[in-house]
Amino acid sequence: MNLPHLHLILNHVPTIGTAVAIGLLLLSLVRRNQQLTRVGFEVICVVALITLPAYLTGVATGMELEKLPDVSKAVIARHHDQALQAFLFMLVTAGAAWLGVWRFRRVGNLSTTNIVVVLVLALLTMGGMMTTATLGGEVRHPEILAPGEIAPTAPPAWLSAAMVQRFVLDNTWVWPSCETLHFIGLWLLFGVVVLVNLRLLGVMNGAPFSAYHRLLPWGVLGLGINLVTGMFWVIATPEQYMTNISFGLKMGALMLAGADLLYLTTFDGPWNVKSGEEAPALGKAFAVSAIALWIGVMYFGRMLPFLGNAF
Amino acid sequence: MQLALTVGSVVIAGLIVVGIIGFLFEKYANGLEPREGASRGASRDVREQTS
Repeated sequence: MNLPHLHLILNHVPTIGTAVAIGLLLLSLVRRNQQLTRVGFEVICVVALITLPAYLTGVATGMELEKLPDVSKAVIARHHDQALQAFLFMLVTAGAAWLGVWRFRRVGNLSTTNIVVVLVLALLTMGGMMTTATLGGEVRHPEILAPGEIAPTAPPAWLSAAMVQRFVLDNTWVWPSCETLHFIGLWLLFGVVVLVNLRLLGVMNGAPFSAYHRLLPWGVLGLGINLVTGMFWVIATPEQYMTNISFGLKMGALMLAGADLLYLTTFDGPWNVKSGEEAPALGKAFAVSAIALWIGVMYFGRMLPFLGNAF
Repeated sequence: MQLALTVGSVVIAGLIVVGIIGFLFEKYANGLEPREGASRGASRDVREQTS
């Protein structure tokens, strides 16, 4: 299996997964069932996690396809631009959905504003994903075009990968600024992750888990900073990342660590840990894996030039 | 020198944005905290009542 193969496996998940989440949200509104809404939000978070490798493997696939003589670079570029836009929408949607899940855990209900915002964002994301999927199909499937129609069929995107690439490479201040902000996002995220997971491991158990849970949005904010700054680099110099084993391992660790982050707020086990109580064995296992995985994310990020071929 | 000043300014601007988001979040999160004497947050009982 190679990255294009992986892209073929993953690339339907964002479109279909978002559609499933929207269906759950609409059903929850009809049934007036916030438990169902919460499940819809959780599905969005999981789909967003899978969208990351779907996007990155897509970049790698584009680099491979560009070498073939019968493939249009313009169609690949348009597909990439649309994927970038849709991915950004997906991140914002997942952020709002995660905040809803976090709130539900704390107060046992969701605000109407939160539900409406996530639903609207999810609809926009699905629209972007559907267009992305259509444009992706046009790269290798001319049979989906109407007679006389020429690919790409969508008008130019408002955000293009080439635009981001020029912005990063033509301005010397962008890369070091992203580096600095990436480190700030890193300590924000890792600081919160370590605190929360140490509590699950029995350290600082004078306070209930809910007190540490309160900090999680700060960690997610750090993750958001790092996703945006990291995307700048990947888009600017994809060749340094897509063939780099260290980057692949970093992304794998990031996916699993993201799942760990979801566990902290979606499952009952950690939340029910009161002052002076020990976390359940599963909670401790997740805590150990979370700390190890985030260290792995940092380690493989640092090793990009040493294990891989970057820079 | 020029580069250092530009990077510094961008980073400070970024921190201000993060600070504003954090401030707004804290206002929101503080509003969710249970008041004195009220039952404690989303315990299992609250979720059972809403399901």
